[in-house]
Amino acid sequence: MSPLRTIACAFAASLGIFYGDHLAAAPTGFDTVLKPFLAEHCTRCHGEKKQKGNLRLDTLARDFASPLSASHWADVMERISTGEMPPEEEPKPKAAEAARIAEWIAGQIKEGEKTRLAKRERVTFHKLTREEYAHTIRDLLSVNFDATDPTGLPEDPSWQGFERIGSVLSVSPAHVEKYLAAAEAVLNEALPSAAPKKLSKRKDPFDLRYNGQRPKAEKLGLADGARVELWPHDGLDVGAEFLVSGDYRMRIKLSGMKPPQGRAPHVSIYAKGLDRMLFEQDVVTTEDQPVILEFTFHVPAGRHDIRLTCEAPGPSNLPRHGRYDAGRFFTTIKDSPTGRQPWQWKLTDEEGVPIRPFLIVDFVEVEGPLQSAWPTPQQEKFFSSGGTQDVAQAREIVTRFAGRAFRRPARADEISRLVKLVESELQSGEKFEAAVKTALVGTLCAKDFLYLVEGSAGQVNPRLNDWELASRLSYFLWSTMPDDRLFDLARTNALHQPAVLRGEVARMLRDPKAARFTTGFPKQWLQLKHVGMFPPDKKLYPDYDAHLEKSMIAEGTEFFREVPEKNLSVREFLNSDWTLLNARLADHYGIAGVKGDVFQRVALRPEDHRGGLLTQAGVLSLTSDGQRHRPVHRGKWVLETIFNKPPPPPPANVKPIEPTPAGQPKATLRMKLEAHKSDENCAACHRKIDPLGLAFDNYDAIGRWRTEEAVRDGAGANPKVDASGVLPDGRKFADGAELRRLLVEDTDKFAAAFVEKLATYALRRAMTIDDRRALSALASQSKATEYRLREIVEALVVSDLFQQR
Amino acid sequence: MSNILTQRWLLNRRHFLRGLGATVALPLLDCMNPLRAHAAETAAKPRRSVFVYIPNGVNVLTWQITKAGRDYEFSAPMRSLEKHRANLTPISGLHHPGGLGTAHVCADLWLTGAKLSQEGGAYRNSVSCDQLMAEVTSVQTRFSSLELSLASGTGAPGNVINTLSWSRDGVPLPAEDNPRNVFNRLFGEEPGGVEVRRRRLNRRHGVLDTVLDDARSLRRTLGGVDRTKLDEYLTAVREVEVRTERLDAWLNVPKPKLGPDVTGHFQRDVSKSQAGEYYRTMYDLIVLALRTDMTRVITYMSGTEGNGLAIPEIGITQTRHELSHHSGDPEIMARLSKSDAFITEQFSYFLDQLTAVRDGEESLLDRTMVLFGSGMSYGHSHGNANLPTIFAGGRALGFKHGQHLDYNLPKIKNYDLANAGAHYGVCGKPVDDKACLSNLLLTMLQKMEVKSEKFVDSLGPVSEIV
Repeated sequence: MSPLRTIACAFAASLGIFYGDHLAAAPTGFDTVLKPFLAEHCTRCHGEKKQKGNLRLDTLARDFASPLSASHWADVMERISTGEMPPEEEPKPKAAEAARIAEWIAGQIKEGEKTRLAKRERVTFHKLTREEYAHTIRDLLSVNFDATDPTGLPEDPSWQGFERIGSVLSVSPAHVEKYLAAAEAVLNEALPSAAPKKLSKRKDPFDLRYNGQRPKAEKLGLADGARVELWPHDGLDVGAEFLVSGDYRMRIKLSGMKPPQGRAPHVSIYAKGLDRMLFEQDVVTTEDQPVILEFTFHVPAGRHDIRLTCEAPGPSNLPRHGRYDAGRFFTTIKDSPTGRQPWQWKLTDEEGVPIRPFLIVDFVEVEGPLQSAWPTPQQEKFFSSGGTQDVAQAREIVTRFAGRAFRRPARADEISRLVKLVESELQSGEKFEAAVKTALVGTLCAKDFLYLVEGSAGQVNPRLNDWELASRLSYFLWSTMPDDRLFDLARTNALHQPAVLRGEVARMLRDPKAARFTTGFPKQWLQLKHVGMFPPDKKLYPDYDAHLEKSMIAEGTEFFREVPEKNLSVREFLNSDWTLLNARLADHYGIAGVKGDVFQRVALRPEDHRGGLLTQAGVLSLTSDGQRHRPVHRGKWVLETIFNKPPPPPPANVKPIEPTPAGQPKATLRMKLEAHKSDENCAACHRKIDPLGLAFDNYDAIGRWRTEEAVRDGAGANPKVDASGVLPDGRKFADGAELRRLLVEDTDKFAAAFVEKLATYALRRAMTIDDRRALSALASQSKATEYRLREIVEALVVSDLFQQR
Repeated sequence: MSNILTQRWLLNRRHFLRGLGATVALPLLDCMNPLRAHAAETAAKPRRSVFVYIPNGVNVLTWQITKAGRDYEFSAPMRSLEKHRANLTPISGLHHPGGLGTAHVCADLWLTGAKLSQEGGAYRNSVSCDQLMAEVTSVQTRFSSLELSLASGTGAPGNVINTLSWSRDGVPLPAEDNPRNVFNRLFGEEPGGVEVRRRRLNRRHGVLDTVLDDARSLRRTLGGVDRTKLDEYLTAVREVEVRTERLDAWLNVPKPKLGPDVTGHFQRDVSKSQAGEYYRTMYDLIVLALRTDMTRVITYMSGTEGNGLAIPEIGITQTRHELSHHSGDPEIMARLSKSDAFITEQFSYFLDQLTAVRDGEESLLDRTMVLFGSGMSYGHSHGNANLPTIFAGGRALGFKHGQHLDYNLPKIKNYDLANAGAHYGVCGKPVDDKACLSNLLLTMLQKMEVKSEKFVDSLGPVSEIV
């Protein structure tokens, strides 16, 4: 057998991506794979007769699910993969053989880890993520809760990108303090003790900039004509004192001037203290046809510093050009130059055509809270006027509220605890409403609200009851609590019937709330959170800005949404002749004809070099380090995300890639990596990882197409990109486009990986060996339905896997 | 232009420091402690600990001090510490056995010493030493501990963590990154008089009691198994209940009155893009919190493994993570050294402030132990041995400083920094496997009067400095 063939077999056995069915193969390899290796290379010194370093391998527990023995095996793997063991004086195994063993152990450890992660207890607690918390509060109390604000909730940790894994989400005292404060805040907003104070304010150009010039302007009869011009990066303070927390509406009248070949001006409204973008959009109009932008937002009470900015890429023109003085106001660019100051001439050419993107603002209005009736509808609902205002009414309110908040009927002991709280509050001298409110705070801090609780202490039943099923389904597709219809179906115990479930999945996917699944799942699955985590170097990538970053992430989620919406196959994720773009991203890709900020479907031609997820700028840039693309990380991302086969971690103390000495010809990163791969121990794994990343070398660190790699070190011309490669099974490809076509041939492997990712998200736990049969069945079922996403979701929901714990 | 700006901050800062001196009085008033007001015990003087984390290791080739003992010379990036020589001990050769080969998880276990893989893939860290200290000191102070960081929240355990502190359940404690928010939490007064506030605390207490009662009743029926998450919730709620009781006990004690200069200093917007000003403001905040005895235990993650600040003011636009993966590029390595020097200068500023605050014969630093270091040494290859470590302060607690304590030299005889590969080796694999960072953490724990003979894998206290 040629060495190459040996390596190929090793890949097949260990990774099973390109051949072999990894779902069906149980890890029976201990005796056949590991034991012979140990006998040949290890047990002479670490066995029955000798135990060098106090280590004995022949009796080491084979239980990889046990943390202790798994960690010993991890040490063994590390020693083998670095070549530290067997030692110098002993016969060395071939590098490929050592790599195969290391990978086998790594695979077992990973499996053991998942087993522990998914450990099912009699009662399981899955904490709501902060996003789910906010959605649930909205459905429960019609109050918007700003979970990501400094006054919100702590960020949730993730596992392999998934932010809702029950065993990973934890609760610390700081969480409880935040839950308490959040519950008080949302209940005060839903059930205010006094009529909310209204805010209604319009800032005109004199308020916004030309302070004190109003009398003069009025005398000249020009007050109505004054407008405020905003250079790129220039901004206006549009903050206000918000006396109560609530929803507010902002209206902005403005014109957006776009240079014929340039970027559209982009208006952003950013609340500084909250670190939150309230609104942003490209605005393109003529000067004399301004538009009114209108949006609503939620803020907690207090003075908020809000800034309206004219965003445009590249270095700021300020303060060099935009040096307005408050004493002279601007009216129009038309009557140039008489009506303008010298610095304003530079906004347009002599014909009045913009030479840079800028905004002209007429006014900014803030109004709210939009919910200003008092008592609020919530209050009417809770305390229905004419109520008896006694313990009986309190009991009735608490029963109703807890029954919804807990997503199941509240039990008698739970109700009596909460009523007791009302009574003790009344005894402390609180008024009826305030006392009941405290019990509602208690409800929102109870474990049964903060966690999705499944199972009961009394009986061991693997099957979910219909209440639990309603929640699981609702948080899967809507990231919020079940609606009335789901509750009704649970109450009548009808939900679990396959026909009913199918109907519900179809209904739920049609609901606007399904957008939380079609954005939440791809964000977590594709790890889009990493986009911009290492911000691209401003000097190397001056075009990169917040709007581009946001558009990159949106392409991933918009693309995903299109698939169930148009009833398409998950195959489209691997390759497609369409995508969704807005003007900003189309510009980034060099695709003409896309206007506006709204994502729209665009047909792709081969010369666009795009298609599927793998060529999206977001996916291509999320592995970059801010300076350059990272092919190895891209390959690792493909293995993890597309094939669900994360490669083993690199051994410690890898030699760094040397910089190219001055005077030497410039080298691509690929050339440097090749030189670096001389170490056989590294090469064995990298042969599987790297081709999947190098195939996309035609895309730079922020996902732009290129044929040459821009290289700083070395002499001569920039080297040409080589994106060709060979898959471990021998199939060759010339570039990324060919690789994508090869991946489509492997759709069944991808579908299997996709089903597992989807199930992880839906069940909020890692999938284990025990789930393999069910997952494998779902994967083959998906083939029968042409891998259509909608059917995959439906099949998952009606499966036993979904309905059991 | 930039000079003008620089001097302006100097002026502002001087103004601020003057204000601080004028309005906050040291020594601390022990009689103000409500929990001890009735105790007959003689009030022991406070013992304090601060932990400051350096992300992504350092440029070990320029960082390493090459000579052991008292007549050592600071390496270039550490030169700003010369004036504090008598108050600190640089230590070489320490490591966490559990940290070897762990990449960025090293930040998670810097203060816990846990071997995470052993704790299972479900990722379970163990308690950090600062929290053990806080258990002892919390009865004395309004806040049991303070967790500060460059990034708020917990971040992602096992990936990029934002906090150094972990509870007894191994749960990460969310950190705060905004000096204004922290200041307001520490020194701000809630509206309403004492009675309004007491009523509010009572109400919260009632809520917590109710939900605890509910959770406990389930726990009883579950018996001894299957209750990890439930226990986590119970512990957290119970702790908040204790905190509520403590706040109640402090209600009658007024918070220190701070002048407008001090308050104004912390109400400013300090952008993280002004790295130096941001660091110094955070250090000012730590000094203020210690000085007013709001708390005695503080962790400060000055940068996370994912985002050690870029420092535009000295022309460094990359994060420390980017700099640390320098691929041997001399330009990037030089910038990493510059960044190392910069953050050490900020740390030196912190020591300046701790020294400047006097309490009779002693300075604040004399009763404060400060650990400054990283869970990584050679970032490019994720080397986790020979961890950058500087231990400072605590002379009044019995610490002896002034030497470079080196666990490598007895075995390797001398450092050959020209041979990068050899030194990277020292940073990848411990030279002395008994030189555990936990030994130092144990030493600090004992000085904080935590009754403990062992911390995780410690072998004993560091005898050379006590």
